[in-house]
Amino acid sequence: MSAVRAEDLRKHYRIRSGRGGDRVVHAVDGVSFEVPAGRTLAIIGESGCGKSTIARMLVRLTEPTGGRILVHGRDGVDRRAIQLVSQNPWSALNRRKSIRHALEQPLAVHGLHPGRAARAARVRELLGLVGLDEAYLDRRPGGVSGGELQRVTVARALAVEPKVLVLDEPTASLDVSVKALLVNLLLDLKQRLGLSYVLITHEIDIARHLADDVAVMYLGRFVETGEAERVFDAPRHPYTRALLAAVPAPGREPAEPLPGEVPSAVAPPPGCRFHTRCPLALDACARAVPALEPVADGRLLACLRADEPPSPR
Amino acid sequence: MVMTRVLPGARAARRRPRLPRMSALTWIGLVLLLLFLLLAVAGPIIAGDSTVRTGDTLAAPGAGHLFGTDHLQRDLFARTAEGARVSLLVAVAGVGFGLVVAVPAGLVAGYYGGRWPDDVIMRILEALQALPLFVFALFVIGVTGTGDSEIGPVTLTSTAKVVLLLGVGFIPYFARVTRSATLVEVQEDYVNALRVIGVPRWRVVGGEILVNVLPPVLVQAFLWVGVAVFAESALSFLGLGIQPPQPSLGNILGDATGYMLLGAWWYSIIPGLVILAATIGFNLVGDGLGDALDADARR
Repeated sequence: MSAVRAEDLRKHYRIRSGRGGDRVVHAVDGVSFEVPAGRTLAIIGESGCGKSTIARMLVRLTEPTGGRILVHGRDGVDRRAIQLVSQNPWSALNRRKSIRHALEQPLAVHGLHPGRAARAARVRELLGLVGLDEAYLDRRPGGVSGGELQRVTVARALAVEPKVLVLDEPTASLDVSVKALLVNLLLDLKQRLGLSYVLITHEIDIARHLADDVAVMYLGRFVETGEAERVFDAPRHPYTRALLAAVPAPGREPAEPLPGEVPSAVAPPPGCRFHTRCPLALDACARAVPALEPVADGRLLACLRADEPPSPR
Repeated sequence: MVMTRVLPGARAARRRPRLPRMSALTWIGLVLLLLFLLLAVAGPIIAGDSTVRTGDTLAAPGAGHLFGTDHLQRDLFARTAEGARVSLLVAVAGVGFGLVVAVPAGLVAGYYGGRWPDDVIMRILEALQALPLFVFALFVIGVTGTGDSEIGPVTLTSTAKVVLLLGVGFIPYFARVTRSATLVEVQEDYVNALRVIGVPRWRVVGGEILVNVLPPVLVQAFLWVGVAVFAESALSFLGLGIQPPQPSLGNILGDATGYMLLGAWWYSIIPGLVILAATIGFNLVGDGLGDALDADARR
């Protein structure tokens, strides 16, 4: 059984506008994926493409407009099965409450480890899991560094013994030196606790390190999914290629950015949503919506020109 | 073991208690406020009964009568001290009553910012705010009379009525401050994080958001204690508030108006100065508290 399964997930936001009725933002528009137990799926894409909306739906902060989410085969809201680590640890912890409070609260809410001694022991164990010592317990978030605070939020998420963690840009607000530490911690925790991750990020190198599978998202839809190594080594979709080429690497200049802006999610372009910026677009791309279809090596690709060989650069 | 990390103990030892840095205005406010509190708290104990006739009619302030006496031969120090005590209690109780109603209302409105519970609460508060406090008080006292009124089994004394009137008048202001602080706080990620963990909504609002919202609200409430002393005095001056023989700063002033021309300046000037000291004191100290809170938030 897969750890997480999303079926045709949709989220449309209705925004009130003065004249001409309401407008609808198509934040997520028909996304399906599956995360096998013990694996990590990275969802990558530019800001505003709907990644974080998927994270919010997975942890049930937002109700999907359509489709459904199964966590270990179950459909209902289960606050213990799936947990969230968000981007900004300073904001994710209450600045007037101690770290001890933050870690004891999930235990108290779910009645785990009843009794003062058992609870204190569990809190120490949680801190140990993320490599922090007891000296942090009585501190407040104000006096603790970002990397350490992010470990605290990971520990808090683990307190309810979840099977799945949704990592929403977990490293985006951390210093470069601290990012690597957190990535290693996350890899280690996954091994030790048998967790599955859904990683939402725009940082390609973080996804490369953590992900087993990757899904590339553009304007509310997946354009390419597959095993991380294959997708990163030989991207097939023109958007994936552009995204990966934009990452600077030693000995390589980052490629020219894509022309134009991401179109509005209120009125997404007809046909393939990427055709307005695609270097390979044909007339047909503006008319037909490409389905996410299997191509060789187990990948799924949504591109009308999937069968053609990659254009020479 | 590497000893580079600062131990928590060492950090605590370095933070020695010292006088907080305050502006000159805050110091002035603090002195005025302490004088007022001294009069209101210690004064009645020193001076004794405020209704005793001393035998001196309209005596000027002197060794025997620190603040002089009034037209009924009562010692004005005892009256003023007792009045200050009553005014302070009424003001604090009024503000407290306002807070008890307004903080939950503001929290709920702010938590649901822009959605229907917010709209309902804010429209009610706006309706309340549209009614000037004194017109409202005139109406209520006019209908119920200046004496005790009985509502079912509950007897409301004239003092209780003033407390309720002040509290109701303050509710919109306190609720607004609470709501705006809550609106900011709800944007923080921990509100969502706690929901994901499974913390019930009422506990997120009452246990987590409240502790961050309360400091600015309490500073605001402190400022309004000064306003409440003033408002109570004004109501009592007009005869709508605390009823004689119970003294209050306002009704002493009200009694004094007829004797100003007879040369009894102390009769009206001294209680007037006490009201002034209380109002300015609460305001300046409240401003200082607000500044300290801002500085704390920026750190």
